[in-house]
Amino acid sequence: MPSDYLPLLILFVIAAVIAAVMVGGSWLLGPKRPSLAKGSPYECGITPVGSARERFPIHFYLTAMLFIIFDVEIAFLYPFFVAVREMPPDTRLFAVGVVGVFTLLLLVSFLYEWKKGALDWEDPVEHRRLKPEPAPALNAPQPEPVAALSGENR
Amino acid sequence: MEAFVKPEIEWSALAPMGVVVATALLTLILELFLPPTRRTPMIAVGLLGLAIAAYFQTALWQSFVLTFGEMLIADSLGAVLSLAVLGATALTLLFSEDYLQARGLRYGEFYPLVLFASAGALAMLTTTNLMVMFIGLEMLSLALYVLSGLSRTEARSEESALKYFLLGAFASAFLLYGMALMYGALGTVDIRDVAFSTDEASVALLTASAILILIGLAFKASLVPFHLWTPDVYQGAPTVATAYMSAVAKVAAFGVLIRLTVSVAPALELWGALLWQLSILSMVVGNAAALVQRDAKRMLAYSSVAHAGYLTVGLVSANTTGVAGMIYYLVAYSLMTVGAFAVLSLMARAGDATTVDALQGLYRRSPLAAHAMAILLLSLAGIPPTAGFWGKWYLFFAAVEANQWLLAGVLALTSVIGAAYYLRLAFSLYAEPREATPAWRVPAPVATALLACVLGLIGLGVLPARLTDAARHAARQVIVEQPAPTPTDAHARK
Repeated sequence: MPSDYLPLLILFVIAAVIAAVMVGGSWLLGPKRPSLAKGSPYECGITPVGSARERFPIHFYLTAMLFIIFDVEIAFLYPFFVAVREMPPDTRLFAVGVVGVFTLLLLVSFLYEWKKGALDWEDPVEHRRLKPEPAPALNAPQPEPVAALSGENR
Repeated sequence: MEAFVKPEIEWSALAPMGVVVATALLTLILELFLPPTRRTPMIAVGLLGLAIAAYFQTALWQSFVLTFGEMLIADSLGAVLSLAVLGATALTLLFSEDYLQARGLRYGEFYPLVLFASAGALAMLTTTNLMVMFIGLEMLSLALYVLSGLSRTEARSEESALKYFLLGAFASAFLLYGMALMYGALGTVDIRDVAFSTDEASVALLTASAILILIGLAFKASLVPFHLWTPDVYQGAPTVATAYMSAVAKVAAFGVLIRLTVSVAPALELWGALLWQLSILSMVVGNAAALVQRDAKRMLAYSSVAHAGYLTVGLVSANTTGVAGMIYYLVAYSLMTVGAFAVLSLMARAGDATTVDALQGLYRRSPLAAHAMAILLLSLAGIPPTAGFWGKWYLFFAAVEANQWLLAGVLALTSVIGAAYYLRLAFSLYAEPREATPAWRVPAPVATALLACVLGLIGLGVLPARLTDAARHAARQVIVEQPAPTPTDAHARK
């Protein structure tokens, strides 16, 4: 029934109103004294250097993929081991078998990754090639990006 | 908390797919521990696994079982088409190594990927559940994207992989959206439920979902106007990958389309009308475009579009003859296309040029390859003593039986146009070569695969009865004896 969803609609409206009041209020009432430091992107308190769009070593992507695979595995295994205790014995055996197949599939893929060197972070040849540029000295004059941003501030 | 109930499982229905997955895992492990020069054990394990899977599949041949909470169906349609998939996979394993070595593509992952893709195709063919179907399709497609990009340093192969992946992902999104809407309309994801939908309110939703699903599957089956990826992908992908995908992806997509049509066509008039248009367009555009191609791989790609159009004639007819004809045609087509691309894969030893000019005078290089190619082309054209003729004959007959005279006429007419380019290529194989080249010795595995294709096609052409009987049985089973779905909440609601 559509009327069952009325509370949900009310919740949406309230959420929108609160958000609008908070953002709009600080925009209307708050003092605006922009400065260079305030306008620059937040980066854990460190002055930003250059663009964030850089070329990453491929290892980052591999790590991300590995993480997702094993994250999913854990997400399945935790509830399974909680639930398996409440099953009747014959069902339990079946369930353990099913999860065994699932784990076996992941195990083989893990073996593959390992053997192919996806887990070796510092491949000697790759490492030499991917060694980053020497970092600029700390007190060197900071280049454009930050200065360019300051023009945007009101 | 409701206790988890162990489902009733008919393990024999799962056996073929399970064996293929296990074989794929085994070859993957072998790949890790064998040096790149030794691929024979992997191929041997793969072939053995496929043989075992085929044995289990043959045992299922007369059965009619719904198991795994109705997610898996073991029937004759699934059995025959699964055997076609297993056969095409085995042939691919046989002739691929020669090509991969000649091109310097020393990626042992080829074999596990092919086997995983086949497991996905088997899943698509043996279910009426849209979710299982989708997972099978993704298993097949993801492996195919990788396979088509296997030649990593070659720009054309990369282009092919990227194009296939982007367009394939879009098609999958269409398909999935259609499935979601079908769930919205019916409350289940089992396509057998469509036939039992009597709810007036859900018709609009059902129509939208059917159109979206049809778009997704038409892409996978490369029906016009969703065929644009086909020539580029077929041409750019390594020839052995093309051979595999042209056969297996088509069998899997049409297997799903058969099951869908049986359920959806009676409930939705639009479905038949859409298929009718796709069929005519595919036959005309596919054949016309193939006529002007200079590259044999592109030509075969457009011819595969045309063949998809012929196959759709059987879907439009939606009678026992049509479905039986499709089953026969799919088996025959797998043999033809795998064989034809196997011959083209031999060109890897002469720079991998597959233009019609480069193929001219193939007879001088290797009489075996030329004879095999000629017979395969005759079969693709549908010349009598081969299986290609009977396939077209049954589909033509099905269209006549369903009073689809225009469709039958277009089928006959475009087949004649098709014969022109097949025969032109077949004749040029025996002409004088453009430049003198040394004779080839076709390696034994490739020769075996070619011989199997040719003998299979002639055997099916001379003695078609065995396969047609099986196809008829399967068609009757899927059309007439399809079991009604178990009542679910969705039915209770009405």
